Amino acid sequence: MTTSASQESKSSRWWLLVVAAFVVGGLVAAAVAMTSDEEGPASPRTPSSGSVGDPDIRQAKWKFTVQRGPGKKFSKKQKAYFVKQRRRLREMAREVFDALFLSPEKQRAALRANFTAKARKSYLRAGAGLPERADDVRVRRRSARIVIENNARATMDVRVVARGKAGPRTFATEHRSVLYSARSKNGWKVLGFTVDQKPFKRNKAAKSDEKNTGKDNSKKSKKKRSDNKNRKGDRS
Amino acid sequence: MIRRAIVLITLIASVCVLVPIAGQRSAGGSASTAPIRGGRVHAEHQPQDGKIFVLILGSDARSGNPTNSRADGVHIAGINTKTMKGGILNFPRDSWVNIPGSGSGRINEALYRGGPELAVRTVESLTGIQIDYWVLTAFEGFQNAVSDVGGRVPLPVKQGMYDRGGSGANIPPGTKTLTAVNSLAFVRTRKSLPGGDVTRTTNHGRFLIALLKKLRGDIETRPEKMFDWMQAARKWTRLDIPPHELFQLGLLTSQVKSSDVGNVTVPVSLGSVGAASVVFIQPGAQSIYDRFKANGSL
Repeated sequence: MTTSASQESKSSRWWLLVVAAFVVGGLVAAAVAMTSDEEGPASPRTPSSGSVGDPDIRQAKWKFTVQRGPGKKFSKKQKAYFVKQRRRLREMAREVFDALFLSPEKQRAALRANFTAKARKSYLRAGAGLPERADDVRVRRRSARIVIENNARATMDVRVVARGKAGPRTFATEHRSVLYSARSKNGWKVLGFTVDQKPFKRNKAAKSDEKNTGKDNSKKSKKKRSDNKNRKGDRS
Repeated sequence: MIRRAIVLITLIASVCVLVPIAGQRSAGGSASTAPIRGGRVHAEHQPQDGKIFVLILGSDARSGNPTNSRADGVHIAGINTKTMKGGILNFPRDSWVNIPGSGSGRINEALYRGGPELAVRTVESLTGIQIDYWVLTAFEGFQNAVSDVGGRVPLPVKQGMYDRGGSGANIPPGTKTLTAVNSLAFVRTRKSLPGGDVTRTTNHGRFLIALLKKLRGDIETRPEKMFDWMQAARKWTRLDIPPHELFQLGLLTSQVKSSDVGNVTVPVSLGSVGAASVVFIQPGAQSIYDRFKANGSL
């Protein structure tokens, strides 16, 4: 009797152990998933996450080139750390520029998370991104060349080409940002930047309207366009 | 008993996993607004209202320890971080000045007597400008640093330089792209120049402005070149600037247009003290110091 009872209790212990292991495993998996979400949006934002891109429009894929800056050869540990930083910086580029061109409502949050306060204000003033009332945005090219120096500082040369509609007009814009970031206790933060964004193209109808309005007006508009030719932002 | 133990372990495990998640969530909110020294250099060293002053010392040491020699190049480089303008104030090496705690002497002796720190104090007491950083280099370091950043510095040479016996210069007038060797010859040459050492000192400032132009051109096309410049600075110069501040300082410097940087040499008159031939800084220099201190630019 005693042996059978002890065998029964042993088998029930096994079940309990298995259940406990599953519960702990599930919690750990949930925790990992939640923390990876916290670190930043790992997946590239699809147009469905934004308000200006048509979910049916296929956006260009991100092209990343990541290099190591000058300095001594890395140890194995440093290499592993470099891989980690590389991933984070890619995520940063995705988060900032996908927000800028596909989800303008997320722009401030993305800049707040990745820029220092001064750099963020300055970047917002630079006026980079989409024109007002932009819709049906199609990103034709997105690429970033990232160079990480000593796992502590990085430059990020990002180029985005986007097309879309802004009210009755269509536009095409070519954007280049160079972000200078440094790693602090709170992760990577952009300290300074340069922005260069070429003007939006006007559609043919708008151009013909302009021609009809006469020479003086066209001269004025040309002057205006030349003034806005290169919108360069300052660096903080 | 065992059941209770397992339940307890499960509970503890749940708490261990869930508490950090909650912590990270709350930390995530504060992290976005955490203050870091964004865009500013040396936040704790900015009593001068956004103006940064760097003392640049060029030692005459051919090789070895540059602090055991005299400083033939003494310059204050200033940047106004608000107006993004700058200036370089040059001091001829024979300027007769008061060296704090060491009597009077030529300005170049301050480095020999007390290292870069004494040179900083000497310049500070002379001008009233608070120096934030110092940078020291010598012949070898200068040449290697120029070489490491590409070695081709475009510069208009006003007067031809021919000093084969001394600096080794053989540079005809005109806009030249100086190699690292020629760059060193350019900043060393004084004998073939009409103004002698004073003109050479002015040339130092011109060369620094040409370097700034090169830095801007380099990082415009390839931003990561900034790291080559930082690496060259760290490798071939002695400086009291931590890497993260050097990065920020480099960023700030790269924003300043070379046309917005003034190059001024303090007005001097020739004289002698005993048997020594020196130059005396004229009283008119005080207004230049005041202007530089107030504006951060010249």
